[in-house]
Amino acid sequence: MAGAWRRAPWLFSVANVGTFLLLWQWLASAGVLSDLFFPAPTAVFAELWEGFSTGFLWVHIGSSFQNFTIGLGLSCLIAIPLGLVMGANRYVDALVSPYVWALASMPSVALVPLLVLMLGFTDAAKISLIVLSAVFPIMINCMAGVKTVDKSLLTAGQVFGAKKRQLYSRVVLPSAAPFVISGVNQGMSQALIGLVVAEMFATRQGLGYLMVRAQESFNAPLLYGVLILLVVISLTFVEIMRRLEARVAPWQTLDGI
Amino acid sequence: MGAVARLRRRLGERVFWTLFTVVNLTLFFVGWELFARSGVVSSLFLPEPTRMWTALVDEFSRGDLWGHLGYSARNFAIGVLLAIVIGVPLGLAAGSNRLFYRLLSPYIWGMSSVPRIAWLPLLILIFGFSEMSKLILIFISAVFPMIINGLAGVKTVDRTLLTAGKVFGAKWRHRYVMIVLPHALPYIVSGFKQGMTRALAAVVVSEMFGGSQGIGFVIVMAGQRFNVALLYALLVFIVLAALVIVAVVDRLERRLAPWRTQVAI
Repeated sequence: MAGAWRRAPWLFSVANVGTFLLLWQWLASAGVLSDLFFPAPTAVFAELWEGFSTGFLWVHIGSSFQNFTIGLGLSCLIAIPLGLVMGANRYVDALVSPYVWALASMPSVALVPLLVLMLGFTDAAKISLIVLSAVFPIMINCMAGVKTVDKSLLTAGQVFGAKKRQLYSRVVLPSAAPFVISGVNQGMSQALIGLVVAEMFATRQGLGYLMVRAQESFNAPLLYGVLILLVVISLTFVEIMRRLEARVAPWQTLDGI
Repeated sequence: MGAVARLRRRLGERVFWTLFTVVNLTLFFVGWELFARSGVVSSLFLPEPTRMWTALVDEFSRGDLWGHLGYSARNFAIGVLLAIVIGVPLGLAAGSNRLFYRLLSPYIWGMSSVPRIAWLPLLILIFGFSEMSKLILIFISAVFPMIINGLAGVKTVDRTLLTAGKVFGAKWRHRYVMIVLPHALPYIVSGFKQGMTRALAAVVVSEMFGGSQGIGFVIVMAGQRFNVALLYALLVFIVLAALVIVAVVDRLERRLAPWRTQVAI
């Protein structure tokens, strides 16, 4: 028995989650759990199925996905070059970093009222919040990536006559790459938060809006359904980034954590 | 650049960079003030720093801001403490016991990968706009970084140290206290840091949704009353609060684990 678990660890997880869902189903159908608050898993999946087959879920997912990719893309475009320069140049670092750290440590959620005031309930407000959530973790990680380059490698490069440009492309960038990836990783999860918050406050579309509407109409199955969708979406992103990281920096993977 | 470099050499690194930051920030705020006064951007969107300051002082002297801050601080403290008390032991246990880890990990990873804020509608559905839903959101936000960091702390213990301990006859309890915990400590502290910053966001967002107390509520009200000066001032205030939290935990980290300056998670 134990041998089977060891050979296929996912089997254990499937059994684990399966038992959990069965137990929940049983408690819900026995009436122990109030179906207003804890609807049976079958009801949740039925709601999801209906949402997908009538297509109204796709509209919200599409809207969320569009804003998310635009926001994250913009964040990368801004943050990666700026972060790399901050890491390489002491003066730029000292000039920019007070503001970067201040904004990075601020819960970006608090910016929602200001953004709504300035931009109204528009996509621009949502994308701005996503960018403001994601841009600073990416920037800080890129900076750290350049700063932690092994000095002896740089010296070695210099000794062997590498030009500044070569030092950057051959030494600095490869060693900063895993930091960039992990920055994008963090930025992504922050962007997801920014997205959901923006949609909860300021729209008629998207998964965050759907949750608020489900809450207001006491549609618990839909609420749980959207939560499950969010779990699936974010786990997919995490997995994609893990693959990317393994390719860019195979020596960096932290297995078993 | 020559003059700057000469100045840098004459003053020494520390003084130079402190001076640099002071000048930098001063110029920033003076520039902001002048730019806002010039009226290029509507003062509705960009208030002058001086106006922000008076708005904040006003709000404090009228007395209700202290109450809101106290309310937020109390919720923050309760949520974070609960998260520490529950999260750290859970993380340590999950790191030490393989079966327990396998049992817990799907839920830990699933729960921690959802944007925390997304739990709020569900909590409001179940608990209404009560303090309970706020505290639980703060707890949920803070607890997973603590669990995961505790877990990582135990899992990354150097095996040879454990084997050495065993060879020299240390009991399980001794190995745990002398080897595992000291190694896990910096991870746990960095879990505190992540947990607390997330808890701060949860405090603000939970107060923005329903309820009539706390700094999040004041921010929303300032926005609705177009009191932009107060809105900006409160944002600056939150930044300062967050920086203080990070600085306190950093100091704790340096005291508890002076041999490592940074934890790579």
